[in-house]
Amino acid sequence: MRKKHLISVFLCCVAVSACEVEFDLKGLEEDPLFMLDGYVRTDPFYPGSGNLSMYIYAVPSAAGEREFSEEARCTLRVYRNSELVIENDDITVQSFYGLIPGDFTAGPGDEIVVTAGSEGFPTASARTVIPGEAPVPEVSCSMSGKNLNVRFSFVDDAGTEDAYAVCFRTIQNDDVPDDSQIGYSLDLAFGNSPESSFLDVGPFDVSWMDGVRYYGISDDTFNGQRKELEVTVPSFSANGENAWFRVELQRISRERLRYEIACNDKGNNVLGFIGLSPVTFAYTNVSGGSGCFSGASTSYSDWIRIQ
Amino acid sequence: MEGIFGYGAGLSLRIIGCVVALTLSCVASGATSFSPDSLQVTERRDSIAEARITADKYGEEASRSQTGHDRIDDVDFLYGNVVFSSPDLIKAIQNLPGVNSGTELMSGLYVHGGEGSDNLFLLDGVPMYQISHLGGLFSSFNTDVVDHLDFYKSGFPARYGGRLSSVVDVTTEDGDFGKYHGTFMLGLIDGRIRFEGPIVRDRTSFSIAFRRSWMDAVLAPVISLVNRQNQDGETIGGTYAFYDMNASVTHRFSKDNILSLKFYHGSDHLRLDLDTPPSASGSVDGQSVQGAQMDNINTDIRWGNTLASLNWSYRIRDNLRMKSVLYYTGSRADVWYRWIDREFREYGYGVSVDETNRSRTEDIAANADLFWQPHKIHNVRLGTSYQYHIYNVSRWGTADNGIDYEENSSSGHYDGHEFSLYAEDEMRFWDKVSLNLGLRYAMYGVSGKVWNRLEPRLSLSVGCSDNVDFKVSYTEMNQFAHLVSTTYLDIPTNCWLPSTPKVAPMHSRQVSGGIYCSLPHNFRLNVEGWYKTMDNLLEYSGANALFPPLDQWETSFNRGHGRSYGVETEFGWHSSRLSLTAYYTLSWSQRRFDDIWYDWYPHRYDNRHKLTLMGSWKVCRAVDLYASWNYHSGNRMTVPTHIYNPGEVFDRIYTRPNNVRLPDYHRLDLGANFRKVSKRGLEHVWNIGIYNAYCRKNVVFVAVEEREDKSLYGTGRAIFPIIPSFSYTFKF
Repeated sequence: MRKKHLISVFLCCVAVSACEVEFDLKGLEEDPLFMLDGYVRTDPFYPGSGNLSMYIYAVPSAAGEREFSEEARCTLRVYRNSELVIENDDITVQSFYGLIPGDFTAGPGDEIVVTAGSEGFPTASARTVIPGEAPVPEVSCSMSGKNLNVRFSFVDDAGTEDAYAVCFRTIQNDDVPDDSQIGYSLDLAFGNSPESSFLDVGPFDVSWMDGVRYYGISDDTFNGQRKELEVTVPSFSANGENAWFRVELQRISRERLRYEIACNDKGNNVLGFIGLSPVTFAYTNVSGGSGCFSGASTSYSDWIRIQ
Repeated sequence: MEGIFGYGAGLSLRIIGCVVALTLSCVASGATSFSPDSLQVTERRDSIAEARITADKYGEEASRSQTGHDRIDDVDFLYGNVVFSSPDLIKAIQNLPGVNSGTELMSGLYVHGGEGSDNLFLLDGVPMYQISHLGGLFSSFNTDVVDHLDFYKSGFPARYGGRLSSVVDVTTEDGDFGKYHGTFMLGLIDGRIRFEGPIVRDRTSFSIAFRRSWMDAVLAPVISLVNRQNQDGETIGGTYAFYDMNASVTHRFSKDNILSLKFYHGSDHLRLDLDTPPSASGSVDGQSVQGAQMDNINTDIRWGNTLASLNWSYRIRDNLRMKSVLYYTGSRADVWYRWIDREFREYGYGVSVDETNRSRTEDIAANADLFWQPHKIHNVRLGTSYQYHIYNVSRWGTADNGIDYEENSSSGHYDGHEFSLYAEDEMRFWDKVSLNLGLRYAMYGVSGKVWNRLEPRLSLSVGCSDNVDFKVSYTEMNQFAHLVSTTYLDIPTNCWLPSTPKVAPMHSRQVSGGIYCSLPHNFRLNVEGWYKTMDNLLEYSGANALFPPLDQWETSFNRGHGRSYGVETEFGWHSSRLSLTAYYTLSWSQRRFDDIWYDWYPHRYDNRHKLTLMGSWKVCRAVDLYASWNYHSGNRMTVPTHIYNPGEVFDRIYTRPNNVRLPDYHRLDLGANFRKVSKRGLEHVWNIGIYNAYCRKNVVFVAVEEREDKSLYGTGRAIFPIIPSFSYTFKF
């Protein structure tokens, strides 16, 4: 009888121990790389000026050195129409450096190139063209119970294949806010469509955070036409009659939309992480590195009082 | 005595005795080239209720002009292709060279670099879409009723079309016209029963077989016990079962005029009912609510196939025979899911998610084939077929978060018309040269587009001596149906959809050739090489999802190319008691999807080496032993080349696809059959099997993790350790 128990225990142990096995990953690349995530944006309140906003991440390879020397430096260069307009050679090589801002003369149609280089890294470079001026959205809004219903529309440029990023902004002010006041961004509530791989993006293709919440949409379905959208801001706190609202609309390079969609797909692809489904190869327009560098032109609707 | 004209058929003599029934069969490349000299007769005194005396199977295969062809008859199923003491047809094919099995215990066939959906499975000439039960653990084919199967991986005859990579043509047995027979089998997971016999002696016969898993009967008390011991309120409920049924009625108006009705129905049912810790917390009407009641998750999944066919075989003249088939085949999958938050329901809010996914693929078709022998060197086949395809997929769901109630739905409906016409001629010159020349025309029409394709087929065999043949073949294939899947898993959320104006048919070209030797002393050696290209392949490019997108599925897949090449060898020796076989494959399988990577990269089943060793030994009339050892280089997987802030899933960078090879796969299976035949001819068979005898941890899926020194490693999960099994079979 005792022997039977021993056999049973042995078989159970074998069955349990067979479940997991560790092994080394061979054949991975050893060179680190730079991941660039940035854009150049024009704004109607700063005409003739391009605003650079750039994040640089030094990414160690999975198989190589995982730590960087404290003395290592990265040089970032920005060219407008082949002319060097920004050079910064004092960026510490680390996993996250922080925001690198910059301003220079630029306008729609300008070609902007950025490069990031450091010893031991392949030089990362990316190119974008600042899109044409964004259309000004027409906006109306009204309260419905606790929710804020927003209706807005804009006309797409038929001559280009564009994408748009929309930000819904609000501000508390006794009087009409200045056009240059940016306010706070709002999150919208959308259901989780079974067709959509993203939560809460409603009629949009993707949403992302860049300090504020943006909702991205391509012009594939309304190229050259007026696009009308209705969205709801749930549980909106209007706080009397001092709440104001407006829509910020950016015409963005299509690579930005493609990149944000890929990042969302990649981050959600749990089955891909363990080899049970195709992994998502994040789109990049950075050669020698990874990430995305894009252009944007911004327009704003007028501030309207929420009633 | 019975005989059927045509190559590939044979002459057989069945002698019914009280204890021993002998079947004498010989097969030649054409009826007229049959020679008694080619018959090898071996009496098996140790055989039981039915013994089979056959011509040398290997000689038959070598004499055909086709490359890449294997015939597996029912005897082979008993040796080395047994899972859980249950013979399996797909496992038998997975052992063959040039075939990769994919992930362990999935009934996947990845033939010459193809995908699992590139194979045409025919059950008595009727296509079958879902070929497995229980996630691939069991195939849908009940081996009790299978007479033989023909497996083609290159050199496809023109009569086959519609898939890129292989053809698995399964033929079932008709019922016995003279006596009643039956088989009953009980295994650890499933049970089978078959009964056959005459309805009108020598005129009409029937055969019916039923198979069902009985895990649900075992799981129910286990689940009940687990739930009783669980103190925190979590409960698990559910069941899983599969069954399938084969039935046929065959009527002989005369020996040249045979009508048969065949039917297959198979189904899987999985139900889960879970009470899980509450996910809800927050405030309702200003009151803070801490979740206390369990959430409820309920899932019900059903999937399966139904096939029905009416077959008519008629000899018009001595050298002209006709066969026509009218059939229906349908595949269905229903997935229903509901999540309920009971906590908020108490406060009058209906918080729940409800989703239903339904997929239907149906074909109604008619085939007509003519077998004509205008001259002794020509064996001509002519045929046509029309298939009406109906693809229906739909999905709808509701989401109620207590504030908003939303309904979502999406669907796709396609009608496809597929028409094909073929002609092939198997010619034999000077007894040494065989040439199979064929051409197939396929037309596929869907709304807004008609595809026309010509597929040349050529196979040439040249005999250098009585025992050595050289063969070469060239084939083109097209596939108009795509298995739309977001994962690599064989799960019922996958659905079949047709080529459309935006999605072109998949296309393959393959060149194959080799040498086939029947060596002295019962040795045999076959060496065959191939080069194959594939175009218009699809690979899912979207986000994590179990359900493929329906509304925009055409834009959710990348288009690409594939290529595969390699050499496969078969070396074997057999005697009346002992059979030893070794299969080895050296192969490369690659893909190129420009939206993923700019160059060729390895396919996930780019298994460089594959070796299978099989042996069976008939120790005595009552005992036979078998063993098989399977080895292949590890599958491939894409792991991130750069990770920063490990643990944050957002921060993975992938470069080259399938950049890491997983550990090699190997396992040893052992088994034994113990037989006893009573004086009345009743046979008892006890089978004992051990799957993965030395408990190899073969990785099925992998997570990438980081050690303390920040180096990365893989953690693989192996699902199946050593598994002993037992079954009892009773034949009467």
